[in-house]
Amino acid sequence: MSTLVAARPSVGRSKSRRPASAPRWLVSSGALVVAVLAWGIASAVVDDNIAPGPLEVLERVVDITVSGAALDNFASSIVKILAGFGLAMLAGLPIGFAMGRSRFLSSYFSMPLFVLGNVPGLTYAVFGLVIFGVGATGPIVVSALVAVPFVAINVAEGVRSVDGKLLRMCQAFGRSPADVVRHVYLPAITAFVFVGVRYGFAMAWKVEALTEVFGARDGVGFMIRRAYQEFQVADMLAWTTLFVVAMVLIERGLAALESRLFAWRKDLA
Amino acid sequence: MASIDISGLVKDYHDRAGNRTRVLDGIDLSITGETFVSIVGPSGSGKTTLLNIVSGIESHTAGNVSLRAGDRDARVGYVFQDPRLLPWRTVDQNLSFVQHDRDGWAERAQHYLDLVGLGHLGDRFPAQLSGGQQQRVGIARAFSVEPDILLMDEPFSHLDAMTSRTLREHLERIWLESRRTVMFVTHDVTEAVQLSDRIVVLAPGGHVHETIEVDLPRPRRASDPAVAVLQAEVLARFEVLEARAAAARAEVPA
Repeated sequence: MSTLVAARPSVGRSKSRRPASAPRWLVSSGALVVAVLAWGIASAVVDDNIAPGPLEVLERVVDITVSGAALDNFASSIVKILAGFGLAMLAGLPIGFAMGRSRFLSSYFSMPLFVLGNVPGLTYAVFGLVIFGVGATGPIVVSALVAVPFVAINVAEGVRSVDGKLLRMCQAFGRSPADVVRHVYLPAITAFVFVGVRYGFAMAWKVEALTEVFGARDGVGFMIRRAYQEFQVADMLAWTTLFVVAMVLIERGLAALESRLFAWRKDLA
Repeated sequence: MASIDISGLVKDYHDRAGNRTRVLDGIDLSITGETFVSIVGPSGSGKTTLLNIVSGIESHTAGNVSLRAGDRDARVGYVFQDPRLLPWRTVDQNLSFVQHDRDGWAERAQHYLDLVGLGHLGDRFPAQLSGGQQQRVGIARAFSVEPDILLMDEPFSHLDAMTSRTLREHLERIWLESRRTVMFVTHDVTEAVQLSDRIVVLAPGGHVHETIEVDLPRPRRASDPAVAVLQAEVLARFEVLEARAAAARAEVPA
């Protein structure tokens, strides 16, 4: 958990000028194509059911998507993660705010949060099953526990980042404490919380999927386990592919939302 | 009519070892009506501390400070050394944030933004403005609350000479139009002469050294001969005070 707090959101990013080269997306796509080709060749060499080729997996991806199973199971997983994340925000916001304002509480909470953030995902998954049994509660609680440290520590950083000069400006203009929280603290924290949400979400989803493998009746993790039990390797890979695609889309969506929300950071062009 | 009344004002700071440093030592000062008063003084004479106490940002050790407008408490506007704008709010939203009186604030904000030449930039974020433009927003913000009293803490000290000269002209023009009671802290004697009706010189140790009345016609330009003569005279007196302060500092054993 070395990167609970990502780099401080930079104010006024400027575009660096580099010599003209191939666009980044082209290079990344190239890497993907090379990897898929290598997979295709390896699969052809092995020529066995345990190593289905990319085309076979793609076919399964299309089937799963068209049948509606992908939407049902992703919706089920995402609802659980969102519920867990909601709980994490409820706990993480006040804890982070307290940590940002008080050195004592910062010391008090730092170890429990460190432990929460460093417990292996598998432990969460197993305990989720033992304590809550098969069902939705385990994955929800587990994703909440995984996300709390990300939220709390980033909120604390956000509170610490609030400029004392701005607070004195508010005092000089006679602003109420409610105004100060709404217009100074919350916007300052939002940038940091967003970083916490992006990292925490990715983390929470991985652990949530793992929890579904052990104790769920639906969801992406559950589908991967079912494919495994039926020795459907192509299905396992198809679900994994869908999982990765969904994560990339969500990450990109959050990044786009971030640049909209934080338009104020843009420098004078 | 607005007034700032300060009597017997004392401010002490205590370090961790309990040693006391007296920053302001019995200041008596009264500013009444449509007067522009500058507070000048060498470093360490307590100018900014005085302004912070008047605005309520800092507490004081002894004495009285009263800011009145007729029979009610005065409304105060403040211009800081740095702009202190909320970076996540647009220029318009920054002005909106400080309003006590929501009625007609948009027109007031637009009016003062127009006066500082930024009427067309209300939807920009502070990071999209230059330092001089941000400071102009700070000035418009202070005027937009229709303050009875305006407090200014070296508002042009972080700007280049050209920009600060332009902003001084903006400030004088707005002040001539709106005529507030102004307390303006500066270390720049020429600026004080150009803008003020009265200059209060603080001495090291935090007491009033002398008060200079500036009776020159407005608007004033830095290049006006009468302004230049008075600037030279005040500067000469100020230099004597600074030399005395430096000598006093040198005498204090380290």
